[in-house]
Parts: sequence; C-alpha cells; structure tokens
Amino acid sequence: MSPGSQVNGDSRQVTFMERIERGEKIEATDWMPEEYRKLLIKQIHMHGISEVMGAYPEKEWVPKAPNLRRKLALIAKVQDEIGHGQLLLRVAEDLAKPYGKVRDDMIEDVYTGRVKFHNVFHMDAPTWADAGVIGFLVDGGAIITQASLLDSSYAPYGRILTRICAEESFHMQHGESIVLALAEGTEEQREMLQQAIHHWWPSMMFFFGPPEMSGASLRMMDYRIRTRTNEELRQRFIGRYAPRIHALGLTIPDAKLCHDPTTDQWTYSEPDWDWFGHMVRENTGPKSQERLQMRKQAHEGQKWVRDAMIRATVLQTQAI
Amino acid sequence: MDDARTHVAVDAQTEQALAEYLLQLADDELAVGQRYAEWLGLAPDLEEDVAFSSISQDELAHSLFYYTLLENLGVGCADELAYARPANERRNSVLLEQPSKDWAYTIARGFCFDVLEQIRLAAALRSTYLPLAQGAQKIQREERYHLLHMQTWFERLGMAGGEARQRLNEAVESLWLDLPDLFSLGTAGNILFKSGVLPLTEAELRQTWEQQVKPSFAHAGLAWRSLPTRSDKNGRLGQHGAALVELLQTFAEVYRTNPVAVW
Amino acid sequence: MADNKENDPESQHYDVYEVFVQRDPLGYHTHIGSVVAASSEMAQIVARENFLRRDTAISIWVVRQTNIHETSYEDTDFFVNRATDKSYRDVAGYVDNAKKWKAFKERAITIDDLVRDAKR
Repeated sequence: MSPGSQVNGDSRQVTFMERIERGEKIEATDWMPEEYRKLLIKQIHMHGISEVMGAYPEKEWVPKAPNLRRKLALIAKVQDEIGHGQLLLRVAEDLAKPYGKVRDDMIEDVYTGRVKFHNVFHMDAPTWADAGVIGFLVDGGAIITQASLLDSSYAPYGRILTRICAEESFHMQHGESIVLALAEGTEEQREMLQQAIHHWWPSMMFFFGPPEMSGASLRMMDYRIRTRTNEELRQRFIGRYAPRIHALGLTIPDAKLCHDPTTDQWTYSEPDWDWFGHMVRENTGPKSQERLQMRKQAHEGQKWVRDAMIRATVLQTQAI
Repeated sequence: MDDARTHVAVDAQTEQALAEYLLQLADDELAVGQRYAEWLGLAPDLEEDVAFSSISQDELAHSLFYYTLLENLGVGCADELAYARPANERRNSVLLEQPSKDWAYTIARGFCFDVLEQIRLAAALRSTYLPLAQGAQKIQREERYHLLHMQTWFERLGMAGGEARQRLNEAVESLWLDLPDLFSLGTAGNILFKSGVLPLTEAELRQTWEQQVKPSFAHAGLAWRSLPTRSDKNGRLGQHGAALVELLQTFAEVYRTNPVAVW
Repeated sequence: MADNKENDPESQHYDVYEVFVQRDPLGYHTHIGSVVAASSEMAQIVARENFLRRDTAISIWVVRQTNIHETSYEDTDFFVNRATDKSYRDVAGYVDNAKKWKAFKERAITIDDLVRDAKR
C-alpha cells in the first residue's frame, strides 16, 4: 500500500506520492506531508549528530598520533566529521523551521537524549589501532550507508551526501593506510590491530540495524528517503571487508561467518541486539556519558561566547 | 643536504644560530598546534570547530616544514626532532605551551602569537638563508587568514563587553606574564642579525608587535598595559614549565612505544 | 540578524547565511551551502574553511537566508518559455540566410568566425 492512499481526500498527499514514485526530487520549500518532514528530520538529525559525536573517539588519538603526518591527517579527518555534522544539521534545521527549531535546539537534543547517535560512537577506542580501524571499518560502513542514500528523494540531503561521500573516501584511505602500516609492522603492532578488529566487528554488525526493519525505517523506504534495506547494506559491508581482513592474515571474531556462493549471502552471528539497542537508547555505552558531557560542555559551557558574538554584532549595528 | 647549505655563509657559528632559530620556530608551531588541536569537537560552535581545526593543521604543518629544514641541515630526522627531544631541549616560547584555559585565552594568545608570526615571517622573506625565505613566502599566505580570524574574534569578544570582555581581560592578564620570551631569540640573536639569516632584532620585534597589537586592544575596549621585560622562564633557553612536560608526554605516548617502527 | 536579539537575550541565536562561491574570474558565484554565524564577517571567515578547505576559489558571498526570495518548484508554469513558437529568438530561426548567401555566392558569417577574428 502506498502512503498516499492512506490519506483519503488529501490531493496534495496524492500528488506528492506521485512525484516520489516518478523519482522526482523534493526541495526544502516544497509542500510535503508532515510525516515525510518528520521522518527526514529524524533521519538527518540523527545522521548529523552521529557525525558530530563521531569526532570524539578519534579526537582522543589526535594528541598522541605517532608522527606528524598521521597527526595532520587525523585532525583533518576529525575536522571533516564535524564539517559533515554541520552540513547535515543545516539541512535538518531548514526542515525543522516550521517547528521553530534552530542549531542550538539540535545540539541540546543530544544531551537531553531526544536524538540518538550511532552505536559505534558510544564505544571506547583503547589503542592507536582503534584510530585506524575506525577509519577502516566504521567509515567503510558509513560510506556504504551514505552511498545508498545518494539517490534519496530529498534533494538537499542527496546534494550534501555527494560532497560528504567525496570526503569520506579520503577517510577510508586514511584508515586503510594506518591499518596497512600496522599489518606490515611489528608483532606488537599486528596484535594491536587484531585486537581492534575484534573490538569493532560486533559493533559493525549492529551498525546497519536489525534485519527486521522498524516501522519508521519502512516508511522511509516508502518515501524513498532511503532505498536499501538494513540487511542489503550489511551484506555489502561483509562482502567488502571480511575478505580484506582475512587477506591481512587477521581473524574476525565470528565462528559462523561464511559465504554461500550460490546465494552470494553471508551467514553471520547476530550481534547482541538488546545490549546495543539499550546502549543507543539510554546512552549506556562505555564512552556515552563522557562524550555527551564533552558535547554539553562545548555547547552550554560556551554559550557566553556565542552570546557575546551576537551582542557585538548588535552593538556594531546600533553604532552605525 | 649540501643544497640547503650553499645558500648561507656557513661558518659553524652561523649554522648553529640558524639551527637554533629553526628550532624556535618549529617548537613554537608544534606547541601551539597541539594546544589548538585540543579544541577539536569542543569549539563554541560547529562552524568555528571546522575553521579552528584548519588553523591547528596549518601550525603543525609549519612545524613539520621547519623540522624538515633542520633535517636537511643534518640536525636530525624531522619526526625525531618533533617527538624525541625532552622538555629542556625545546625552544618554544613558554606562552605557547600553556593549556588553553578557555576560549578567551585561546583567542587572546592566538592573536598575540599570530601578530608575532607576521613580523617574523616578513623579516624571514629577506633572509640570506634561501629555504627559510622561500618557506616564509608560502607560510605567510596561510598566516594571513589566522590573523584575520584571531583579530576578528579578539575585537568582537571585547566589543561585546560583559562576561566576554572580563574573560578576555583575565586572559590578557595571565598571558602577559608569559610574553617576554616570545620576543626572545635565545642565544642566537646577534649572529642571526649579523649574518642576515634573520634581519630583525629582539627590540624591533617587540616594538613592531606592540604597534600592531595596541589598536585591537582599543577596539576591544581593553586597557593597554606595558610589556613585561622579563619572566622567570625563557623557553628559548630550554626553560619550561610543567605544562610542556605534560604536553610532550601525551604527544609522544604512542611514538615512544617503538620509535623505530613504521606507523 | 534575528529580530528577537535585542529584546530577548534568552532566545538569541546565530543567523543562517547562504554561501556562494566563485571559482575563477569568468565563473559565476554558485551556491555551495550554508552556515550559521553571529555576523556576516564571521560567516565569511567560517565559510572559507567549511566549504573551501580543499577547493580553490576567488570570491565568497554570504547572504542572510531571510534575504533570499525564491520561486516555487511547484509552479512550473513560471518557467515556461517555449510553449508557443519562439524561434525568432534563436539562430535556428534564421536558417534561410545561409541558403540566400549561397545564391549570392557568399558564405554566411557565423559568430565563431568573428570570435576567431577577434582572437587573431
């Protein structure tokens, strides 16, 4: 059943769904069903905040990067994450205008728990190898998801995703470069890398969401906000990364993991859905609270800075 | 290596002074770049987070540039110079190793440092040591943005009055104590000037700096205060506080686990 | 600047600025995204790094979002310009000229010929 048919008599809804089904793109100022707007805000807000919170695990390794080139690259990468957060939040803010929401609200929603962020950014990153594996696996997974959204029905989202994907490809190279250096390195470096892969693999299985998609996710498929299922994306991820990890002579912590050549599907052990789900909903991951505090401090702790900058503009305008 | 030496009249004394000065430049950029990078994810707004991160990248890249000049002079390999030297061998100004405290301090210090950078770079353009003159030309172009950024922030935080101006005032008060060695050229000053490696004296540096910084204090509504002439530590002579020891401890944490490994 | 800034300090917030970038001297300014900022000066400063930390450009415009007046995507009639014959506006509407010149044993002049002359 198409969403349009649920709303009898609303011709705008019908026309809108016809546009979606014709593959047309929707713009910020177009009329749109409130459901569509709310789903977009939910998706893009969460996506943007995930980018912002995604800066923290790697930020921890910036001061400790083992040479200057790695340090520069890692700062640039974290900068991109914040930049992607900025781009995405701008799109969400324009959509949320009818509700009177601005940037400050979007950020406050993080530490008041009204918006969630990806499970991976609740996790700890105990060694330098984690800084590499985040780029390798987490960014790898993120690109698979984001590339699948490039054809989203909401044009402003698709537009910035084109830019984001281009920058993410640098992240991927950066992560692979660290991983490859460790893989070619000493016993200790290889061991560190192996530990990191074991550390991140279950998180990556959860990252794409449950095979049975939620109601909201299905509605996003109806509206072509997204066009791929969780399971399709996870299969693509395993297909890309499992062979590469094995090629490095490293193991994946999943005894069930195997590829069926006839169906081209991977069998894998389900992550602990409840544990991860609870972590994302309640912010109970190893680093959730610490990072939420950082975001809160950055925003609330420096309200005086933003207020002062606005006041300076007001005073300057009055002086003219 | 030989290539780099041919551009300067190389008596041993001059070469030593040159190396000394390059260490001052490199260590300055490294310390301040590391402090700036601590703001990642913590700046007052996301747009500024991105902008400020570029500045920290630039500063660290400049330190890499100066360490590479030292490498070419045969002083040691760039990453080793950046990572392996203990605090008492570092030549950075004490001001630049201090923790960032708050945004007002970060901006005030950044402004003070960027004005200094502009003056040093303008002089370096006329250096008899060609690699320095050539590098200065490129670096100066990036530093212009830094200065615009810091100056705009500095003046506006002051113009706003209230808490912001008060914090800015406190920041200036605190950083003023650490100013003296920012203008110091350590043991190298005389030879640098005579050889033309750096056609600039400490006195000129301090005076020009004062002239350029003063108007922004007026715009920011801050009272000008006279420059202190000495402080208890001169970073150019390897005298540093606990802040640098802590900074370097973190900086080299992974490197130290295996300095010869490829990372 | 939002109207509420002077009256209600509690609801102060940055304004949205749309960002336009010109990449070369003969290029147009092209929309590239938006930032929130406390003033147009700050919007310019942050726009440079938020949008041009990898690409080159020669000019940035920042325009307060509220100053943009836009057309509706839904009103496609607004953009209709060829519903009826408008060939008199185009080169293609004058194909006869070439044939006639031929009758006079001459070749029609094209804009390309004149541009080539100018560059000579």
